[in-house]
This record gives sequence, structure tokens and C-alpha cells, in this order.
Amino acid sequence: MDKLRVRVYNVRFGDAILISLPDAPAGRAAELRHILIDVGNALGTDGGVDSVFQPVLENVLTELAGSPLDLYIMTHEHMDHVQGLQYGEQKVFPRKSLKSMLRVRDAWLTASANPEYYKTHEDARRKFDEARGFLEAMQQYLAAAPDEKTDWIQGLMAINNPRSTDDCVSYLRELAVNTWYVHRGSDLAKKHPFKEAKLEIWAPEEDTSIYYGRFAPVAFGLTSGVGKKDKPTLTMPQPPAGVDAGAFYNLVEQRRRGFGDNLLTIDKAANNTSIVLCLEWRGWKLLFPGDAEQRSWLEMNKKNQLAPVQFLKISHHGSVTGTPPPELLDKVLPDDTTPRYTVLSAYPDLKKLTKKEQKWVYQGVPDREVLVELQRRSNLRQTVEVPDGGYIDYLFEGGRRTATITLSG
Amino acid sequence: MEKEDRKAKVRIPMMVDDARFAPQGRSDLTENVDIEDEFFLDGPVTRRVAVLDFNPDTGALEAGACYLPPKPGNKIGRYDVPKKPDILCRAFNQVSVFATVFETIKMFEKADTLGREIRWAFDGPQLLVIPRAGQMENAFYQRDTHSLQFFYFPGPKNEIVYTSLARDIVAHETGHAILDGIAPHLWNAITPQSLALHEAIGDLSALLLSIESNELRKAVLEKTQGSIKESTHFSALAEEFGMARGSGALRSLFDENLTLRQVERSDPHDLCRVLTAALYSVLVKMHEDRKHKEMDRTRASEYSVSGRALALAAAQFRRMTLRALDYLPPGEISFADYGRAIIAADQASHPDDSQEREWIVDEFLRRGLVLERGTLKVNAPPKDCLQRIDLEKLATSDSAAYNFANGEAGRQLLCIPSDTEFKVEPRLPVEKLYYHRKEDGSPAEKTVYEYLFKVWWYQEEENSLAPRFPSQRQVAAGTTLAWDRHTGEPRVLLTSNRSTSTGEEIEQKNDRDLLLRRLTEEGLLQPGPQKLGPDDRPLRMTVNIEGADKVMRVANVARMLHIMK
Repeated sequence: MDKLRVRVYNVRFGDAILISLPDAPAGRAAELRHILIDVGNALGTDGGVDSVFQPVLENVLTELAGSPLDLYIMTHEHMDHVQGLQYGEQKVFPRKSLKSMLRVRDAWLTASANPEYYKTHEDARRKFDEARGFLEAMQQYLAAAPDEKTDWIQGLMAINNPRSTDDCVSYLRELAVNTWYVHRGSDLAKKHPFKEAKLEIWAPEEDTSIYYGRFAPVAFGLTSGVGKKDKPTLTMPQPPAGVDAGAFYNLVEQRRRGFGDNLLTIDKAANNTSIVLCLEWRGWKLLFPGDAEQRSWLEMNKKNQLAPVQFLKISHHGSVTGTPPPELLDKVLPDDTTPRYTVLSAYPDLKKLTKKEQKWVYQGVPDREVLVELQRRSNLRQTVEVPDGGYIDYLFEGGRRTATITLSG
Repeated sequence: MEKEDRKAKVRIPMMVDDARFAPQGRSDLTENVDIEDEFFLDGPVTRRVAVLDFNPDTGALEAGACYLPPKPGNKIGRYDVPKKPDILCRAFNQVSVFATVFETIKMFEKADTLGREIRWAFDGPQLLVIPRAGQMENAFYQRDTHSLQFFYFPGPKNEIVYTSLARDIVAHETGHAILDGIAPHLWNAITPQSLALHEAIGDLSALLLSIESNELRKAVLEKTQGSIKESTHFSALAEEFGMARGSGALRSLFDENLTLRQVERSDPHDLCRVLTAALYSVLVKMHEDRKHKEMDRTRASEYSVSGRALALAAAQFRRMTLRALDYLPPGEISFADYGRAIIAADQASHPDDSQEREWIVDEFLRRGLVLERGTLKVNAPPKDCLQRIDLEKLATSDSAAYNFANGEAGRQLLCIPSDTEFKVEPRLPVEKLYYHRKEDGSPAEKTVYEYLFKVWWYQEEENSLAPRFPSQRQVAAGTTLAWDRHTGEPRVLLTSNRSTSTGEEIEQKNDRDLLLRRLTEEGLLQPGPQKLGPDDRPLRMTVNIEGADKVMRVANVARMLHIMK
């Protein structure tokens, strides 16, 4: 194999990417090396069907052909990025250990996944604790007010579920011979075996507190049940004598609101801790930003990291907030004559939905205007173009300007 | 004021300062104040303020402090709180926060300050006060819920720090609510200096309410031997709050060297620091001046006259800085606008004594708040501008007011651009008390009856934020005209239409660009209509964009400004 291949699997609403490339140390024969990024999909919705992991993981193992996986990258701690390998270990290969078959040499996990991280990063810890506290209260609130549970809320709660995420990340921490927790500025020497390919981390910043923004104050107003199994109930206070009743009820209602902002804040903060990997190889520059959202893109810009790339895995499934604003997109995907390639993992296929469904299924992700903009700047493909568990291959050859794209049956 | 005879009265305790005050050697943590309103109910609840003590864990409404009407033969009622103040007692907290809010309101309404009952910016009679809004290092005013929300948090020794028990924090947030009623455009302003004024008035409210306390004045001056020249308890805002967070006071008003050039022009909190430092320096000068006058008059020591001198200086300072707010032109304003309003207010009350005005101009100039002295020159309105106009009709009839403003002479007088739609606010009658000296030097008082006439409109300017935003944006501008109800003479005319002052306008526009860029970078400002959250309701922690596709209008920026950065 003398080409670099990026294989982007259709795992429905999630990421699983296998990069295979010949890596030639100066004056020596090339060795075929592999990088696996993420593997996971969204829970609680159609986009989170677990059965897709079996063909994907079998294919990864086939491609490794008994060789060890050189580098595994967990971009960030979200279920649609971390869930797949643990599922494979427990459900697909219960007799043979997936870990022993993958034989991962080095694993890069986002810095804040380090169990020691919050002991040394006080600001981030405060934000993280606040986020966890809020998610617990939100669980209680949804139990008391099930009508509030929109698909979007359900999806956000599932993706950000601290307990299940912790389980998956614990598994990934033990996956490789060497586990590294990385951020922009980490010394990457000796943290991977690549000699010819250049690996660079553009994000996240080490201090993840910068990604949180502000939390809205929320007062859910819940009365606990008497027994342990009793559901909490919503407290419905009445205006006392002399108090403007309209203003009173509005206040009570508004004090409950704000949870929508907080869910998005927490979701974005985790997305923004994504490892953004730039891979350079024989004249090609490829970018894998996980689910980095605008806050992270702005930070990368501030740190002068942004540069044109020929391949971009679209961040955060093509959402408005995950796509760099146009002035930054100009830096990454300039509107010029260079052939550029982008790929998007989202589910389901927007084209197959009615307008009403498009609005509510996965909150309009990908965003239609984002798709139009990406199509204008690049050759855009979506993983839904191939069947579940299938893949899109991009083949990049040294010294050429164009890549070859093939879709699995 | 007109309903004086129908008012009820209570005498209730309020915090002198905050919970740290007692350990500083003072025995009295509280002082009693008298409050009047049309009625008092449990809560406390009155016509204008209602305390709602929600249980932070369950959201249930706790019983409010019980109102005890006056005993027979007595005119003053009270609330049922322990005689020995206990800051952990719910009833005490409810009553103290109520008293502090009301005292701040009273301070603004004094006859020698605004001389009128303040109005809220929201459509409702009551300001709702939540003394335990939840656990968070924060406190804020929220227009859309008509509320002041005070949070609490654990301090370094795990003691609970209630922001609702800190006199300066409560006064600061009440200041936001009051200013919002006086100058509602500042809530939607995108000019950083406009937003900074919101913060500054909060700080000045805290400062002035602290100085009003005899107990606190005595304690501070005792400690400083009669001076406020250095950093004192008065200049340190939210000291308990800051110390509980492991830092110093949240904001210090005392900074002799801070200038506009040293701070981030797009940061309202930074800008506020410069403005309040400038004003605090003027207060220090006024205090020193008063002390010397009192010493000359009484031959007493500096320390012994310092308390009275501070009370007098602070009263005049209040007349200048808070009375100015009614003269502010509507719309987005700059520090220069506020400076001119202060000058105009002081010129009206002390036409023959310009010393304090000179100090204001000196400080504004020294701190870079204005670039030249002439910027703060306030010209008297043309004497004949209201001749042959039925002023009573102008005050009471909306159509007469509109027609006056819409005529050629009216537009010219009020600086309304031609072909621009405008809105005339309901005219405000005010009754102000002025102090002056008779020819023989003896003190005298005079009541001036004024009408305030405010008109405003939107102006468009280039919006060079980013290609994805509309290319134009709207900024509110306006004019305030005040006239004497008895003589019909115009007293003040101030406008925020800066089209004739291009330097000032360019500077303010550049600052707006900086602020909007910052909001965009923080993800608080997104193009397009207001976004819905996952609960299908508008998101609350974003700045709203209103208006059509080609012209952007930003709203609710001040909502993002809390006492804590």
C-alpha cells in the first residue's frame, strides 16, 4: 500500500475512522501503520443502533491483519465517540478479547480524561462539578416533568450521561500499552511511532474551563418523594397575598427555564475538549477535529493554528455551532482551485425526511445551510451514503492533487 | 408623594454592612430604618416591593416575615423578627433585604435627588426580591422576571455567605433595577460605555447607601481618622463576597491612577472602574473641602467634623450623580453624555458655585473619559424655544407632544433627523428641592417643578462585524428636554445624537464594534432570529438579535452583566 487511506465508517450518528498509511523513516522501507479515531454513536435514538459496531470492528481487525493498532485517539468524552469499543469488548467479542486483538500501542485521550486532571486544574474542576450537579438535577426534573422530554433533550442527556461515559472512558484508559492524555502543546515525541507522517494537535487547550462559558441559574423546584423509589414532584407555589400573580407565576416558570442553555453549555464544553488532529503526509494535510465547536475554532484561530487542509472530517456532525464561522472556514477550506474533501457523519439522511421531521430529528443536524456552504467549498460526502457498517474510503497519493473516493456496497 | 396621607409606616432592621462588620469590633450589626408604602403585608410585601423567600431545595415558598400593625395609639408597625438580630433567621433576612432595597429606592426618590417616584422598566407594580435564589456566587437584576435574585455560597470556613445580607450588593442590584426604569435603552445598549454606566450606577448606589449609615460612617472614619482619601470600607464593594471567594473586594472605587487608556475598551466592567474611580476622587475632594469649611466654621478638629462633612459631601455628590440620570438623553450614551448630565444637573442646582463641576471636568479629563474640556460644556437651551407653546398640553397630550416634536422647529430643537420615525415618552412631572444661599449667606431651600420630555429614535450605522451578520445595525439615540412648570422656561436640553460631533461618534462606534466582536467570540451573539433551546423555548443566556435581515438590532445585552464577571 503506497497511499494514505482514510476509511470513514457509517456508524449512524457517531464517528469511527480508520487511517492507514505507509510510514517511511528516512532511507528505510515504509511500514504500514494505522490510527483509529473514536468509535461510538448516539444512544437513545435511531442513530444509536449498536449492531453497526460488529461489521465495523470486524473490518478494522481485518485491516489490521494481525498487526497492532499503532495509535488510538479518543477525541472527547461523549458517548457517540467512546461507546463502540467497550460495546465490542462486551457484546461482539465476548469470548476473545477485543483489546487483545487490537493490541493498541499508544492511545491518546483528551487531556481532561486523565483521572488526575481535575486535581490539578481547579477552574476546570469547578465547572465540571457544576455540570455534573446540574445533570443530576436535570434527571430528577425530567422524572417529575416527563412532558419536558423532547427528542433533543433526550439525546443530550444520553450523550452526556456521566455514568455510562465514565464506564466507556475507563475501558479506553486501559486499552493501550501506553495511554497519553494530550492537549495543544503536549510534547508528542515518543507518544506515537510515526516517523514520516507529521502529527500535530491543534486543540484542545489544557485548561478546559475556558470552554464552559456561563451556566444559567436554574431553580427546578422539586419535592422529593417519601420513599426511595417515589418520583420527585414539581413544587407549585402559590402567590402570597398582595403579590402580582402574573409576575409571580412568570418568575416561577422562568426560574425553571435556563436548563436548555445549560444542557447546550455542557454538551458544547465536552465537544470543545475534542482532540483536533492535523495529519501531514507527502504533501497532504488532513484534519480530524472530533466535535470541536466554535469556541474551540476561535481558540485555534487565536493561537494561529488554522491553515488550509485538503481533507476535513466535518466537526460535530455538521451543526451550525460545530462548523467554523465563515471567516475561519476561509482559513481551513479556502474557496480556491485546490481540490478539497469533506466528510460528514450524521444520521438519518436529511433528504429522506419530511421538512417537519428534518426540524426535529437530531435538531436539524446537519444544518442545511452548512451543507450548502461545505458543498460550495469541497467535495462533500456523508456516511449515510453507504449502508450501516459500511464505509467511504479516501485514497491520497503522495505528489498528487486529487484523491480517490470509493464507497462500500 | 401625593398619597402621603394614605401611607403606612414600619420600623425595621437592616444590615449596616455585611456579616463581616460585627467581627470588626462593632457591636451593632443592624440599624433600624423607617419605610413607608401604601400597605404592608407578610413577606414583606408592599405595593412596590415583594420579598419571595423560595426554599432553594424544593422551590416551595417559605412563610414571609409576619407584619405586625401599629399598636393602638402608635403609627409605626413592624415585622416579627427577633429583637437580637440573628442573620441566620429567615425572617431577619427577608426584612433586611426588603429594607435595603427600599432604602435604595428612597435614596433615589429624595426631593433633592430625582424628586419623583421611580418607575420600573417592566410592566408591573412590584419588584420581586428573592433572598435565596440558589447556590451560586452571584446576584442580579432581571427585567423579564421583574426580580432581584440574590444567591448564596459556602465561604472558606463553610459558613454560608448570603449576598442578600450584604448591604452593598443589594444596593448595587437595586441600582440596576432603578436605572433600568430611568434609562431603559441602556438595557439593550451595545455601546460599552452605556453598559458600564449601568454597573457604575449600581456601584454608586452601594457607595451612597453605605455612607447614609451613621453607624458605618462612624466606624469607617474612626478607623481612618476622618479621611476617605485612601482605600476604605466605602470604596471596597462586595468585600465579604470577594473575601469568601479568596480574593479582595470585588471592586475598589479608590484608584487615583486608573485611566481609560489602561483598560479594555470593550469591557463594561473595566470601563465602569474608570468612571467610578473618577467620581470617587471627586467625592474625596468634596469631603476634604467640606471638612476644611467645617473646621473654619467650628474651630473643631478634622476628625470631629469629618462625619458631618462626609454626610454633606455625599448628599451633594448624590444630587450631582443621581439627579443627572433624569437628564440623560435616551438611547445609547457615552461617559461624556453622563458627564454633561451631571454638569447640567449641578448647574441647575448650584448655578453660582462651579467648584464641584470643575472637579468633575478635571477628573473626566485626567482619566481620559473625555479628550477635551469643551466636550463637557453644557449650553443652556435657547430661551425662546418653548415660547407660544401650550406647555400644559405638551405635558398631558401625547398628540400635542408628537406634533411639537415633529414640526420643523421641534425636530431641529430636539436633534431628530429628518424623515426618521421617533417616539415620545410620557412626560414626567418632577418636584425637586434645591439648596442655595441667600444674598446674606444664609441657607435656603427652593422647590422647582419640572417636566421631563424625552424623545428617541433609531439611527443606522455600518455593522462591520462579520459577513454573516447584516451590514447595518440600529442604535437608539434621543433627546431630553426639561422645563420649569411654573415659569415655562427651558432648563436642560441634552441629546445623544452625535452626528454633529463626529469624533465622539466614531469613537463610540468603534467601541460598539469591539463589544459585538467579543460577544460573538464568546458565542453569545449569533446571526439570525433568536435561537430556540432543546426545550423549544428561546435560549436565555444569549444576546437577542431583533430586526430585519438587512438591519440588525441587538437587545438584552445588560442581562449578561452581573455583579460578578
